[in-house]
Amino acid sequence: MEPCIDLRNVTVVYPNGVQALSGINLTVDAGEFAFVVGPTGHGKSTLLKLLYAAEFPTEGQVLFLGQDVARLSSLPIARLRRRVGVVFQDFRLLAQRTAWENVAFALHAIGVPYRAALRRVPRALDEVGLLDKADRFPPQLSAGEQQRLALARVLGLDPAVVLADEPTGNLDPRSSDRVIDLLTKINERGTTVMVATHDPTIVNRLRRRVIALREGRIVSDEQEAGYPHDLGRD
Amino acid sequence: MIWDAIDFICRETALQLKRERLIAIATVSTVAVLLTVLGAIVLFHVDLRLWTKRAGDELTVWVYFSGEVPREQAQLEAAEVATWREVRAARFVPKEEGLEEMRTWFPNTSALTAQDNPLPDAVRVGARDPELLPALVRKLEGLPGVKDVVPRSELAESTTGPIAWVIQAKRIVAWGGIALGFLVSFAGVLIVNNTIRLALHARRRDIYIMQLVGAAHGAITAPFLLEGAIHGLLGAALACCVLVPTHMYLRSLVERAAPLGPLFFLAPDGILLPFGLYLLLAGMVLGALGSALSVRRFLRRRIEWEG
Repeated sequence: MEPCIDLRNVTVVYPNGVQALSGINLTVDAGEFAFVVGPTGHGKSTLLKLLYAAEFPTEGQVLFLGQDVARLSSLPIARLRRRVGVVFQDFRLLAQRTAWENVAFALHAIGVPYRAALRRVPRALDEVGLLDKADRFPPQLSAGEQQRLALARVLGLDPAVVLADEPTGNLDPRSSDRVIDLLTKINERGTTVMVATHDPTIVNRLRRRVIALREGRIVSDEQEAGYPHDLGRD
Repeated sequence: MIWDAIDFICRETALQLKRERLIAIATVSTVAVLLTVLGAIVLFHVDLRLWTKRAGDELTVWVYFSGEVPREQAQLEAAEVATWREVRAARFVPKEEGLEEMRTWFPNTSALTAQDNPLPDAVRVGARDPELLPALVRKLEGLPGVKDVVPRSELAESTTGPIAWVIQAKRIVAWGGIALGFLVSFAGVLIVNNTIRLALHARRRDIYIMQLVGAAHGAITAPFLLEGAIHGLLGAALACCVLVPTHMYLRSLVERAAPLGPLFFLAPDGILLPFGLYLLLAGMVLGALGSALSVRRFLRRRIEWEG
């Protein structure tokens, strides 16, 4: 079976000369749950950015669901992004829109009909436990609730792959656990999940596939692993 | 699907117009000021063109036949002149009518009788365009039986005479108007473009989310285009509210100031309706174009969440 994500000898060099990734070879199968770990600034976010086409490889190939991302024009890139849900450490919610509107806006933007959106928005909010706060604006929610709202936005879109870039970075341990539980639940439905983190606690709790990055290179890639002791966090 | 897209575009446009009131006010007032200036230039240009056309129409060439030319021949030549390409109108003026006209203009000649009439039969010729006048005069001078042509070709071809002045004024008005129109329109697109960039900056996060979830460029751009067109339309409507009554008032002032005949000709009120409609259209195009340029530039950038 064709892998869901296939990176072949990928190197990313930023315009300022910084080499973010170097010779990355990586495959992730559909339905997998993988952690991408490593200290800050060692290429975790860049790796995820390649997958939602916010960054492109300087060398090598990024094959996502069988498509070479670097060769796609704007419309196929847009179509590809519809199959990827992304959550971030800083939530990236629209402060002027309510929780309901944040989820609905993403759906309407990609042309989901209003009637379908009316079904999908409450379902997504309910799954993350925010249906009773649908009319609240993001600044009126706690950090944990904001991250769950970001996850509701992703759930509404029903993507094939969920990418989470430091999703627990701004959360207390209880909220972190709740967010990770939600990501696990999403994965159990068959959605591929990749979580970039430098938090050993969640990695050690779940014991899933762990891809470790240091200075832009993969230094270890193990199944059912914990956080590598020698990797460091910052 | 298409209706959902249209529905989304309309809802987003309405929401933004409601939410970003300050930016909407800034854009509408910028377009309004700009179109007031542009519209004033266009109206002034129309007035000037009418005025120079009038001045050109007043330039008349008199062709006097020698006394020996039979009247029938003079009439035939007048009829032929009227068919020339460069001639707007040509009318045969018998010497009796010429005498009457002379008596009106010069009262001290009122004692002259038909027997004393010094005037020959003539043709009054109006040129289609003042620029054609020098060539026309030369052509008329070459007609058989012509004794005199007023103005003479020396005066018609003079670079300092009144004919040259009218020609020059007409050219300046035509080209100056076009150049000024282009300049102001160009400045307009730039100013609107910059104002809309402010609106885009305010909504950069909405655009980011739309890009992130995979909205097509068309779906991202369309609400901005519609918003730009609405801002442009409102701005143009404000400009119309200033320009139309002002022009009507100025026209009434000019008419009152010179009841026997206007010193400066202002276009009739009838042109104000098509002018207003064109201005509304120009506002919509300006707003949509400014938005299109800004959004295109915005979308070409790397997808990035800006704080």
